[in-house]
Amino acid sequence: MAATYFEPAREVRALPVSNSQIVLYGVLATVTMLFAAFASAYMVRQGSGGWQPVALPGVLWLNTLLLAGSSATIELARRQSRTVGGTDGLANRARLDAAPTRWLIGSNLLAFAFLAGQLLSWQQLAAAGIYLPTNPHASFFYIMTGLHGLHLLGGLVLLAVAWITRRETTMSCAATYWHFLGLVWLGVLALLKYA
Amino acid sequence: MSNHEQHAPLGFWRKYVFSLDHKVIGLQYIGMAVVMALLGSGLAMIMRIQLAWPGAKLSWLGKLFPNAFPEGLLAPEHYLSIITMHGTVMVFFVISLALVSGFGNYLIPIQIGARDMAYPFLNALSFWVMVPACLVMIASFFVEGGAAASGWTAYPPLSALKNAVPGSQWGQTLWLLAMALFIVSFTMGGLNYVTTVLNLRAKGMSLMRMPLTIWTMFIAAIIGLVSFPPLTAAAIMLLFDRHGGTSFFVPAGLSIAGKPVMHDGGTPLLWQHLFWFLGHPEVYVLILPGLGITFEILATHARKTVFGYKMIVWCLIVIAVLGCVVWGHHMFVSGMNPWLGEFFTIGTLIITIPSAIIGLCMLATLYGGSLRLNAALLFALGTLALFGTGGFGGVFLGNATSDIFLHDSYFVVGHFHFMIGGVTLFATLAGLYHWFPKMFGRHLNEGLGKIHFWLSILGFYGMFLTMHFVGINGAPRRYYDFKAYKMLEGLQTYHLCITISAFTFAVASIIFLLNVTWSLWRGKKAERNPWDATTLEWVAPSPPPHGNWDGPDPVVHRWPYDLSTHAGAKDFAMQTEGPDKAPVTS
Repeated sequence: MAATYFEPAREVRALPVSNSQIVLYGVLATVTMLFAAFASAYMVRQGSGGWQPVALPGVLWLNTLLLAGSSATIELARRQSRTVGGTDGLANRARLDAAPTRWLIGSNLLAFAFLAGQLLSWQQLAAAGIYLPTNPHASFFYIMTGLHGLHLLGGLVLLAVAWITRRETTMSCAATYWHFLGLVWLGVLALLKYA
Repeated sequence: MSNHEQHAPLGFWRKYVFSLDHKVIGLQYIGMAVVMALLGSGLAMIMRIQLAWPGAKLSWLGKLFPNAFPEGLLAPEHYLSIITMHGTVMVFFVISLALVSGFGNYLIPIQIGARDMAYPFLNALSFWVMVPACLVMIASFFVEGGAAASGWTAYPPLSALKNAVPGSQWGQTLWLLAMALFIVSFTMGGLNYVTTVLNLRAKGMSLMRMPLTIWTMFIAAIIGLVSFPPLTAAAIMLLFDRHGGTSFFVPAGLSIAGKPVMHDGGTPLLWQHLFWFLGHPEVYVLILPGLGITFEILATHARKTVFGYKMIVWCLIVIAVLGCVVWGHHMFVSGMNPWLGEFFTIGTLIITIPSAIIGLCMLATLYGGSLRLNAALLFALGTLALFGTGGFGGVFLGNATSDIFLHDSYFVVGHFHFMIGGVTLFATLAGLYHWFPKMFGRHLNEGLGKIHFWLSILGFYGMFLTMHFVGINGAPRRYYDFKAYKMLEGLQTYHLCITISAFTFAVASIIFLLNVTWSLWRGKKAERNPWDATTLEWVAPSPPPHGNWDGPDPVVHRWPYDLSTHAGAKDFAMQTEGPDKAPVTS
C-alpha cells in the first residue's frame, strides 16, 4: 500500500494560541526553572561557608543597557512588521510583508555587543586573579553569566530563523524570547550583585 | 478535510529507522527500552546471586570484566557500580522510555485524533538524542574504574571526587553526560506532547473527552518539563566540582586515603535537594501514565464506564501539584529542621487522599462489570494490586517518625519497586497486551500471556514484599554481603527467597519475550477493533498506516467511556459514533 502523505503540522487550533507559542512558553518555563534552581543553590551555598563576595566589573551596567536596547529594537521590528494572511487564513501561515530589516540588524548588533561586553567582564575578573574555582561567588558568576550567554545564542538562532522564514509567529516568538532574556539577565544581575 | 496526497512508498530506512511517524518512533522507544531492560535485569540478577550466595563465583563474567570480577568474584566496589547502573537504567532508560516516551508517542496523536505529533521532526530528533544517551550509559561500563558507583541518586561527595571510589572516575562523568542527553531528549518530547495535546485534538475532542491515558501523559509531560531543569542545574554544578575545581557540593575537611581534599565549604545537602526536586516528581511522571493505561484497560475489558472520570482528572492534577513540593520526604534523616520535616510529612500524607480516590475509582470501575479475564486485564488488575500494596508502604515512609527507622533499609527498596518498578512495569505489560494487536496487527498468545502474568505477580510479591520484612528487621540497602554482620545473618533465608522469586520473574519475562517474537510473525491476526474498545486508534486499521486513518479525519461525538450504557446488539459506542447510533453520556 502506498504510504499516505499528509501535512504534519496540521493546525486544528483547539486553543487560541499557536503551536510555536506553546513550545515557546514551554521552553521559557524550563529555562525559568533552570535559573530558579541556580538562584536557590546560590542562596543555600552562600550560607555554608567559604563565601567571599567578588566586586563585579562595572561593564555589566553598560551590558545591561545594551541588552535593553536590543530588546527595544526587536520590539520595534515586531510592531513594524506588517503581515499578509496565509492562503488558508490561519495566523501561523501569515508571512511578514515588509521586512523590518534595520531594527533586526540593530537588535543583532546590540546582542553581539552585549556578548562582547560579557566576555570583557570575564577578562577583567580573570585579570584580577579571580577564576572559576577561586571562590563560590565567582563560580556562580561565571556559570550563570555563561548559561545566560548560551541562552542568548539560542535566541540569535531563533532570530535567524525568523529572518529567513519570515513567519509572523516566529518573529513574535523571537521577540517574546528576547524580552524574557532581558528579565532573566536582570534577575541574574540582581542576585549576583545584591543577594 | 482533504490533506491526503498519495506519495511513493518510503524505503526501508525512511520507513522503519529514520521515520517521522509517531507510531514508529514510539515502537523504537519501546524496543530500546527492552534492550536496556535486559541490561538492567542482568545487573539485578548479579546482585541477587551475590546476596543469596555471597562469594559465589561467576567465572564467565570474570573473563569479560577481570577488574570488576577478579577470578569471577564480584568486587565490593563494583557491587556499588551494579546497584547504581541498575537503578539508573531501570528508572530512566527502561520505564521512562517504554511508558512515557514509547506509549506516549504511540498513543497521544492517535487517541486524540491527530495524524501525527505537532512537530514530527523534533519527535524523531528526541529519539535520536536518546540513542547516544543509552550508548554513553552503556559505554561507562568499559572505562577505567568502571561505571558510576554513587547510587542512582549520585550523592556527593562520592560522585564529586574522582578518587572516592573506582566508579567516581570516568564512569561518573559519562553518567552525567548520558543524563544530560536524556534530559535534552525528554524535554523535546515533553514540549511535543504538550503542544500536540493542546492544539491537535480532533473536532469534538474536548479536554474532558480525552481518554485518561492522554490526561496522564499530558500531566506527566508538564511535570517533567518543570522538574528536570533543577537536575540539569545540579548536574552542571557537579561537573564543575569534578572538572573545574569549584566547591558547590564538597564540604571542607574531607580527606581520602590520608590526603586532604582541595575543596571547602560546599554542601552535599544542596545536591540532595536539587536531585529530589526532580527525583520525586519523576515518580509521578512514571506512575501517572501507568495509571492512565490501567484505567483504559480496566474499562475496556471489564465493559464498564470509568467511575468518576472528572474526579480522577482533578485528582491527577492535585497529585501533580503536590508531588512537586514534597521532595524533602526523601531526606528526613538529613538533619533538616523538624518543622520543615513536618511540612513534607503533611504534604506527602495529603497525596494519599487523591491516590486512594484513584484506587477506589479503579475498584468501582470493576464493580458489576463483566470481566474478560485476558492477559491485558490480568496485568491491569496486577497494577491495581501493586498500587494498593505499594501505597501502604508509602504511608510509613512518608511519615518522618516511622521513616527515621525505615530509612535506607530494604523496606524502602521494596516500597519503591512496588511503585515505580511494579505499577509502571505491570501497566507497561498490560498496555503491550492491549495494544499489541493495534501495533503489529497480530495478537499476543493468550495462554502464554496468562502464564507470564501468574509467574510475574508471584515473583514480584516474592521479591518485594519479602524485602519489606527484611527492611523492618534492620537490613540496610546497598550492602554487599549480609553474612558479614552477626545481627543480619538470620535474614539469609529471606534473601534466598527473594533471589528465587527473582529467577521466577526472569523465567516469566523470557516467556514473554518468546511470546512477542512468536506472535510478531505467527500470532492470530487482529481486526480493527478486536477488544470492542471505544477510542480513536481502534477506528484505524491494524496496524495503522503513516497518517493513522485510511479515511477522513475522525470527528468525535462522545467521551471514550460509553460502555454498557445502552441496550442493543453491542454494549459500547465508539467515540466517532454520532448521537443517532447511541445516546451520548458525556
